[in-house]
Amino acid sequence: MKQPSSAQVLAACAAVALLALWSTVSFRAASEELAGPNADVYKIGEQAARFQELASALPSTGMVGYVSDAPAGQTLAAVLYGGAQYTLAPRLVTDQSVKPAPEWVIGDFSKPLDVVQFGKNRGLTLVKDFGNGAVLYRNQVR
Amino acid sequence: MLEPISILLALLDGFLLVRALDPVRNMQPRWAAVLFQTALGTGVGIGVTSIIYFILDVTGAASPAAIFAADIILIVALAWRWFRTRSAGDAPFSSHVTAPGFRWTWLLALAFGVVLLIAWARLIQMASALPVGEWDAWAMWNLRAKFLAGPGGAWRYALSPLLSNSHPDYPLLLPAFIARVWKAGGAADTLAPAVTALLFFAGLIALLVSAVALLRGAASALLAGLVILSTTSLLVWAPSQYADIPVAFYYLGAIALIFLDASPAAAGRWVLFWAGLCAGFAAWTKNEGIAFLVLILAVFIVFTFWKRRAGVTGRAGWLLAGAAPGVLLTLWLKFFLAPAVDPLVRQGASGLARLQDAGRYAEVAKGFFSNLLNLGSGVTHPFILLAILAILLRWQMEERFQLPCLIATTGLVLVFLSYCGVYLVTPYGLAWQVQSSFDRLILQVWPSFLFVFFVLLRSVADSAPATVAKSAVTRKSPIRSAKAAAAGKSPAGQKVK
Repeated sequence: MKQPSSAQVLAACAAVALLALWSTVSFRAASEELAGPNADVYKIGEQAARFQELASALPSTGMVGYVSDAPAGQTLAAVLYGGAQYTLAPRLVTDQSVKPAPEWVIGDFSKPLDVVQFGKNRGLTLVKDFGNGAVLYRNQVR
Repeated sequence: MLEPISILLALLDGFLLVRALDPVRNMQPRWAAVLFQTALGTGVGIGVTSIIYFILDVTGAASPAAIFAADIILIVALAWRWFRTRSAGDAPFSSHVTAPGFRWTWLLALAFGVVLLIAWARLIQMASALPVGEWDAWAMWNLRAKFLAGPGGAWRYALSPLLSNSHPDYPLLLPAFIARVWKAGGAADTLAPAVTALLFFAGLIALLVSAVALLRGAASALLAGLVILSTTSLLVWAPSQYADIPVAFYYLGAIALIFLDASPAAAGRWVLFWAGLCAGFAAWTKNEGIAFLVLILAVFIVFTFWKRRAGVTGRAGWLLAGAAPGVLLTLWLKFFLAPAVDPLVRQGASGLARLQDAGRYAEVAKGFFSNLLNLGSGVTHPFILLAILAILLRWQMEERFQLPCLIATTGLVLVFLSYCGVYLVTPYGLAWQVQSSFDRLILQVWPSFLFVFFVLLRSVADSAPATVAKSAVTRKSPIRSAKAAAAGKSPAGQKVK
């Protein structure tokens, strides 16, 4: 195949260099939000502070039950559950209905409600309400 | 303070390991060889220390003292070997083609430096703004890292079927490395996963640039660097703390080493050993890596036998030997530690029924093309850059690269087809799965695709006759090699198409 001329080589290099520069500058402008204060859209980083007191009341490892008011199947429920699992690990946070039932169960609520009644309906006794939707229960039936 | 030290020790482990069994010892330019060693060493160091930590954890021996002791023993042993190798005299010769000076290489280097600086500054800002990473990072990879770094037998939770929403049967290279750093540092903060993500991204860029430089010269390498940095979706995912960039790194490592093996200056059997190790690490990083490992090994063996290359069995043996750690760990994980709970694997014959649904093929094809478009934006899309290069520079396939090219392209195409096959049979919502993962699957093979593209592209420094430095590999005189180059042959005497 015929070799490209020096002008073609130079044109190719110049075009790629300029377009790559343009691309990166455009990326910088387009990614402003990803580098801004609202980058953590699910607020996972804030869960550590929210669960800090509750975590200190739990054993450092072992299985912990989980209940929430968020409707199952919705993104909110998945975010709350995943966020609690990540924040409270290396404890294994799992559904309250697992057998054998864990002694400790955390309540993770998205809105104000009667946490005592919510627990009673599920066979749970309130140990402490840490506020901000973080609650610790104890399983009555084990 | 101990966290950064443990990361640096892992990188030093990897660098010394690569230096000890140097796959590019005789290759030029030296800056590219050192960059390649450093980049490969980054991935190897993370992979090796991740495996050591996982074994320590499972056997109940994981502690900061054990982690640092393992690092120091490894470093002392490898440094001693390196010192001995250097004392005995490093490579007694070098073989390289000195490209006939492309006089604008410095300008390409300047452009690459500016682009890299702008991109890197933004990636650090993004990593700082989202230290917990994107969804899969906190819901899966770092969650499992916390279990592996936990006290006593907490590592078992990383594989518990109760984590069904977090894929407990996924391979553990990334979580085990982050857990190692956390365990060494005594706290599970967000620094380790964020730094690891950026290390893999930096390693990926360095690996691509250095490998292309070793095979096609500095100007081609800088162009490859500019094109990969124009892939905006890669930049978006780089600080996400997902395993897709690490797996892309190991794919590229394996593919580049298979090409380097075809170079007359390559350091013999170790090149294929490292290629196998990278493929094995890919399998220990992500399930997609298992498909890559199996397919690249199969394709390598089939094509090498077909082409009747000398020492086929030995060559395949070195590749398999390198892959052994990743293969054994993956088998251990999949068959003994974390039996599959994923509905995709357990669905049985019902998945096959979905293959008859033509609409699924259309949806996968649509997802493929739309995500290809999303690799970049507008006129700066990397495909436009590649088209400019292909039209103006044209192709130049050296005979020695024919077999590696066949292996790499067939392997990558089959890997990608296996991804599409999974979409076709997935029991999850296809639209959701395509929308949430197809761009990352494309990114896994994208750097390897770029590497093959730039090896096949005519070298930028190719417009004038090459001069050959003193060569003891080919034992050809500079005049003879220059004549061969001028006659359309490579320095090793292969024909150039």
